[in-house]
Amino acid sequence: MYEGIRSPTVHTPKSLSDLSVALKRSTNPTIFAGGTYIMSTPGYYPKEGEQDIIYLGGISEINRITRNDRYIEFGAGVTLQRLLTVGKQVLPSLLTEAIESTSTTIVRRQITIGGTLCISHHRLLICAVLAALDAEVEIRSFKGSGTPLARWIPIKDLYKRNGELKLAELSKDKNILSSIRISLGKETFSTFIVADDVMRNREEAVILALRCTYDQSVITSFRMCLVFPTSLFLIPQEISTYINGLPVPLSTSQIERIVSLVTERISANTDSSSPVIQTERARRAIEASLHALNAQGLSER
Amino acid sequence: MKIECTINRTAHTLNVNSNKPLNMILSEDIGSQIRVSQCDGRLCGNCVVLLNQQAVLSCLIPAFLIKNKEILTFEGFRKTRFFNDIERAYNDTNIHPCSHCFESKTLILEELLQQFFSQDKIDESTIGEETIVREMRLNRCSCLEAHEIIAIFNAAVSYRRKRRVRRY
Ligand SMILES: Cc1cc2nc3c(=O)[nH]c(=O)nc-3n(C[C@H](O)[C@H](O)[C@H](O)COP(=O)(O)OP(=O)(O)OC[C@H]3O[C@@H](n4cnc5c(N)ncnc54)[C@H](O)[C@@H]3O)c2cc1C
Repeated sequence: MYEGIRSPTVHTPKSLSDLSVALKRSTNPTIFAGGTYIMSTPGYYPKEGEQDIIYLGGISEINRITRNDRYIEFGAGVTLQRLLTVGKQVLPSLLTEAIESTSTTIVRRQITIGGTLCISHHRLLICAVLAALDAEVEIRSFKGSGTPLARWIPIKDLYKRNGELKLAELSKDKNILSSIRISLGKETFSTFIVADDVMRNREEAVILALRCTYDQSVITSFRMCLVFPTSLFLIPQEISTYINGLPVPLSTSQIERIVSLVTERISANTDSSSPVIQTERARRAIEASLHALNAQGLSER
Repeated sequence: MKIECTINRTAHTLNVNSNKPLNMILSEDIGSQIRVSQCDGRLCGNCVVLLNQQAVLSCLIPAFLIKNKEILTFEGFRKTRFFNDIERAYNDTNIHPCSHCFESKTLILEELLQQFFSQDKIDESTIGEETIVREMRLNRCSCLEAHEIIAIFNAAVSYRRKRRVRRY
């Protein structure tokens, strides 16, 4: 039916060394993980000038889940549904709950954890949650000849403040995200809030993920990530510095101070085109989650 | 790209672009009256088919991933005994999805029934009422209320339980 449109060559590497060969053979290939984002892009098919496709689903090295005393590591090709079934007992509850709230089983069987992190222009819930959990990602560079170089970086270094992938077009640069690692530290409070439908109203949606530990009522290891899907990826370090060491419950004035600090950071990091509704939603989400922290702290006394 | 697969129990050798979505293949390349929605990224959830017995959104499956696979569309599924369980559940409860989403909702229900009865099912709580309603919402059509979905599901479970057959 669509004569003249080239059928892309599909490479199905079975190992990272096969992947290296496939990447060398193709210019600007489409890295295809679960394909849910690629295939749901309006106008996906038919399109002229299609590049080769490299399908990651068969690469055993990036489809493993391993665990030791300190951390759990999973390959980028692991699907969200598999993470839920295999890793439910060991994953932080913040992550399992976030996965459970992502679409439905039918789609989660297809979405890969690497795919959720590598969408080039917008950030969604799993990114925010992994950032709040201080996850690290392994990037493998297949540039040049010889064995691919692998390095671990904190997930926050993967994105610009506006949420774009920093390693612009990861795959085009012959860089592949291969693994994700989360340390299995103690976490006494964690929550996330998603305001609005991130798939249908990205321009107005807001995502907040936060976690902390409190020991004898004193907050430590506080970390939050605030996302406006198309324009902001914020991990406000000074909020963590301010909150760490404070006792639970936080006072009303402390909560107000935190909210105003975050609001300042939002306006410093977004342009005027960000809708006011997002800032308002962010304020409310932060307030609500800090009140939830207070409630949990008080109920445990 | 040459692709061999089985669609509604008939073997096909297709010559299609490797990235062509399955919903388009079903509508354009099979030469029968297979009805699947073409949403172009709107994610309406109206193009569900069973791929190797698991429900998928056919708009998210490229041709190269159906190689040597078995595809069952609603037209194929309605000829199986398993459809009877769901059809009887619709009739018993007198609740039917609208004509717009009937096929896809029925196939999602089938997926849920399979999960419910599968031997390696994680535990029954993972398929509680909230899950059932949520899974059905993959199809965006709002013709059924939550309590209606649960009523249909429970009726279908009792028919499927009686049948006690696991295979197509
Ligand atoms: C019906 C539906 C419902 C959804 N609901 C939700 C929801 O509720 N919440 C939510 O947060 N999201 C939701 N999503 C979005 C979903 O999270 C994304 O589509 C998904 O994250 C993409 O993952 P994937 O494995 O399918 O990636 P793909 O579509 O295969 O790839 C996405 C991008 O990442 C690149 N890429 C993939 N893997 C790698 C890698 N290892 N290294 C380098 N680059 C890579 C690809 O080249 C591509 O650019 C939904 C999507 C659909 C279709």
